[in-house]
Amino acid sequence: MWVEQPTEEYQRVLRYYHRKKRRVTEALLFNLAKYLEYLRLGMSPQEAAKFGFVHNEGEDIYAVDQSGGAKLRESRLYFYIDMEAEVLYTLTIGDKDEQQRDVLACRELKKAIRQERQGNP
Amino acid sequence: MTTQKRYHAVADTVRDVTGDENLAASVERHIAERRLIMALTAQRVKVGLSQQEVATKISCTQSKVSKLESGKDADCPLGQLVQYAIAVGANIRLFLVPHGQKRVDQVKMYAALIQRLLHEMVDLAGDDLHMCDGVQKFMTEASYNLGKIVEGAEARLPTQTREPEAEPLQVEAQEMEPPYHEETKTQSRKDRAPLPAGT
Repeated sequence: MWVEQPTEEYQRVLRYYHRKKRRVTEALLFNLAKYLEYLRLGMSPQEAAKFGFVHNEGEDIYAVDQSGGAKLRESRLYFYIDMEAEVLYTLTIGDKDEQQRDVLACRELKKAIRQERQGNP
Repeated sequence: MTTQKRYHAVADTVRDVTGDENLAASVERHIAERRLIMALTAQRVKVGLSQQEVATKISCTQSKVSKLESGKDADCPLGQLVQYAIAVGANIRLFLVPHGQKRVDQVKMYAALIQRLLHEMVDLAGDDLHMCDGVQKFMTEASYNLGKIVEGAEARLPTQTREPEAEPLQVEAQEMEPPYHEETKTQSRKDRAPLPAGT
């Protein structure tokens, strides 16, 4: 069964967003919860990424946006999907205008997670 | 890098990381209010239908299907949900359960349903030896797999709380009643042993 495993970076940023951008955070979390529920309903990560609120950022990294909340600043909550272990690693949250920088950071986080998993399977 | 902690729900992560019970409850409610519609939407995607194709099948517009999929279960008329389900090759089964039903009672309810279905399979097999053989094989597999499911959940408990000799799940006669009433369509055999009480 699919589970969520947060990175330390995600926890830090989530606390910040929760304090400073409560409504955006809520909208992002709603969409993340929906995505996780779709995986549990047997959809593949690619199928579940067809919904408008999910974006495929490449290399098994996806992001949900804040859509569904009215007039909110465009933001992304990034996660990495480990299909084999059925784990969704939540990586970070960022504003849309910092997307490129965030995606690069997520790729580094993904590498570190994979190394961590290989060292500690 | 990652915490070693894994969460079964986004709301649990929120609760643990931010300590905001209201936000966690809000995330839980958001999903709970859309469970049926999300299941139907997932079924649509799995069978490879577009919103437009479903709209054509149920004689409405694509935007209406889109609106239905982004809404809450309670905001959608049951008839529309049934139509949608049929269009995506599914049926909706409703369970009436007491408000605030405990998880233990939910497990017992599903156990009762499984018991009933297994007995119906035996009845369907009748005297057909080929079918009886198939049902027998299925029962062996089901017995193994159901045991594995319980073991898998139990294995997640902290070691010190595990009982070496756990009490077997007692499903009492009254609790064995299936959650809804329906006519049994299978033929009963007079010469077969009667079903256990409550089935």
